[in-house]
Amino acid sequence: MKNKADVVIIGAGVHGLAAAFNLAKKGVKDIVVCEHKYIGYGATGRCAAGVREQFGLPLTIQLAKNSMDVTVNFKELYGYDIEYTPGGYLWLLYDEKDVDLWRNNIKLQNSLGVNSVLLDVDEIKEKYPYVNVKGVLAATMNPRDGYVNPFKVLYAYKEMCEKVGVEINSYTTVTGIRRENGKITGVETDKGNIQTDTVISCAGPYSRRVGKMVDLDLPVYPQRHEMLVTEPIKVFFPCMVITGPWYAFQTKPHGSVLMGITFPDEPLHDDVPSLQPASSWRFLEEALKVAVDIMPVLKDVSVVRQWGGYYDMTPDGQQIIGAVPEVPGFYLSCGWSGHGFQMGHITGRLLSELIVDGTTSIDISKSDLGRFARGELIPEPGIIG
Amino acid sequence: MRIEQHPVLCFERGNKVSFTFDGKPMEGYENETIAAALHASGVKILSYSSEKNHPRGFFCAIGKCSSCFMTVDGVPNVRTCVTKLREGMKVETQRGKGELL
Repeated sequence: MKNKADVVIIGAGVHGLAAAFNLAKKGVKDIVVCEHKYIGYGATGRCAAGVREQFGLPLTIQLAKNSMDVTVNFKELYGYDIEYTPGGYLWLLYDEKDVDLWRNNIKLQNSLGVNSVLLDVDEIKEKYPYVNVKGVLAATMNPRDGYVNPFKVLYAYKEMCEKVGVEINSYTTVTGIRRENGKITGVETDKGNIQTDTVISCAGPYSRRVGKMVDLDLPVYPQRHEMLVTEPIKVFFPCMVITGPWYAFQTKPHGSVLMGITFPDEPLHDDVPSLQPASSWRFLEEALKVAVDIMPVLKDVSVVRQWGGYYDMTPDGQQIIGAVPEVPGFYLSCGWSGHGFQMGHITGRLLSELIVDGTTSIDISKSDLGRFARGELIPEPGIIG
Repeated sequence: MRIEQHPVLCFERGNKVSFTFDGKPMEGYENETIAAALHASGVKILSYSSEKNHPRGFFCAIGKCSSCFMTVDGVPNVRTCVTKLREGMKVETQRGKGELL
């Protein structure tokens, strides 16, 4: 392991690796990534594998769209197939209030170049006849939303990072961040110390833990979310079907169905609990009950596996990205609250711009850490679950 | 071929039942599995693999390996090695991944 680096990145998920790769591309020489387990151990390797542009705030939509541009063109840009399969997110709406909210969201999305539409019940029935529309008033659909294989994305970034000389250290736990006169001077790990003046925390649900190392009380709380996957069946529904707390879609070309459901009573933790089991019986029962109700055709499909992971939840369900004035040299990308996987491409690029050029091509000033102290929360209405 | 005697297992073979395999009439016994009845009737190919279309037969016999997936009464991916035979069942060779629609 190098004992001196220009930048140390904590976390080898999509955000950490994309930041490392983009920094190297911008000419930064010594970049070291420290990962306490293995690449993708955290949220990236456990996520729902969906990418979308349907959000409710200009900044989130802009970030999602720019990240989606990378997703869609990943093969042309970098030569790796990440199994991006568009098919859209079909977001079923059961409440007049939600229909109004999403009608406005769609207007906003359209004005920012996202081609989402509102479908009425007849259109849903015609296009997706296997979806039970009982109680449904309308649905949103954006054809560019879809599926991406998170492991292919991780693998691509790992190889691209290695080709440009980034050092990725697995099973290397950052235990402390050294400072002198307020400025960062190095990172302590269980495998030795690294001298550096710049640290990026891409620690996902472990961000709060990392924040404490520089005396920051980050409002980023781990919350368990669970998923299951079925045996493969011939692909028949092209889109992700969402009711709000519940969602399901088929991975392509494999054909297994990924499914999740969120429980509002899942606690927000101070740190990732070491003793809580990743998956629960309740999840299996409740997710499948909804599945059979919304898509009765799934009733005979067998589940092969279930797992859990942690969202990094913030009080407004929005990310924290950028520099932290109180700790010069410390940068954050965390608090993505469940929609972080798809944002890795763009955040990696923005962080590299911020660190090398001192400015970013998209204004991210509103999603800084300071907004919580200023009371300028930016609640994102487009959160799944 | 059916195993008649076994040092550990006992076979409580029930009444003779009829079923169809790819439309052809077949016979087997209650309390035996679909795959066992097919095997006894000389059927060796239960499904075809999804990528290379290779024939798949009786393999693990405990419902784990996916080799015996067949479409039974219209339901795909039925583990015929652990699913008991019933009178009138419509059993079909599964080609590739099961189709729900």
